[in-house]
Amino acid sequence: MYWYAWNIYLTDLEQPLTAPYAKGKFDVRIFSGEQDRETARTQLASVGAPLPDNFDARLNRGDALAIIYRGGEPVAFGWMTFTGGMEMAYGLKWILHANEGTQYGSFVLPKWRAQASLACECGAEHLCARAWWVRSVGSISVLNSQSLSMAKRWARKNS
Amino acid sequence: MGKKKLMTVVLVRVRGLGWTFQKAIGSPLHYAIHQPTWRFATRRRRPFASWPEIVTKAAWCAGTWCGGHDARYRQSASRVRPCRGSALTYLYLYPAFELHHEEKGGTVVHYAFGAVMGAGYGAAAEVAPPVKFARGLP
Repeated sequence: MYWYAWNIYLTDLEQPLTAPYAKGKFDVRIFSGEQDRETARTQLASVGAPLPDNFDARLNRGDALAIIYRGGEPVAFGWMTFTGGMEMAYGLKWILHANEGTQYGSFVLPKWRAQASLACECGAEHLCARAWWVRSVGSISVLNSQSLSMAKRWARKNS
Repeated sequence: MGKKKLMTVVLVRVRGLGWTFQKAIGSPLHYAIHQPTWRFATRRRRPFASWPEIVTKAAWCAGTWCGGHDARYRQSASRVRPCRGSALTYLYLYPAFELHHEEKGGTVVHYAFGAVMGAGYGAAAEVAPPVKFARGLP
């Protein structure tokens, strides 16, 4: 028997953007579309993560890639899609409509994980959502305590 | 920027049987009903909220003004407000109901066919015993 459990979160774009609680200053760059394809490829490679097999397909369908930098060094990245059909597991898929987007494939380099750069990245994805003006939804595994903690802190900070 | 937890989704797969159990816990039903984001598609495209839950909720909020269901596609900077139910709820759900009925219909046809064939064979065997030759094999 296999199981998954996720918490589903909604980001309210109506509220003003607050600074992430990451330690230090991080910069965010967002790549999307044909014009950013090669740059995104290069920058993704510089993070050290393997290039996804469907990298071109992701950009073709309009996905956005957010990369977080600390002093010019890439430390994390995450994707955001605006197209439905992304599979979570066992045929369970998101239905996304014209004004909705969801995050996936977030990754933080191990040495930066204590710096809460994922929180910064989360902010980046939301910037992304704001740029396209879509409602951002996301899933976090209930076993991913670090990300859950981040989501709780965001919720508490804005309550 | 606020981050709000909407629900917990549980997915259990029993490997040998190929059976998958799925459940959304704490899902606000007005999201499940009116905003397709909160409905996930499975292979059979069934929503997580059970039909009795959806119908009960639809009945509960029937007649409440919601400003039109198309609002969810038109919203831009305007506030994303939870859309309460109305008589339109049923119209919106109707295709899903039909799909559900189709799935059930397949099962009904399957068993009905078996029953009719069995009854036909039984009747034919009574009327014409040679039908039973070779244990009814064609």
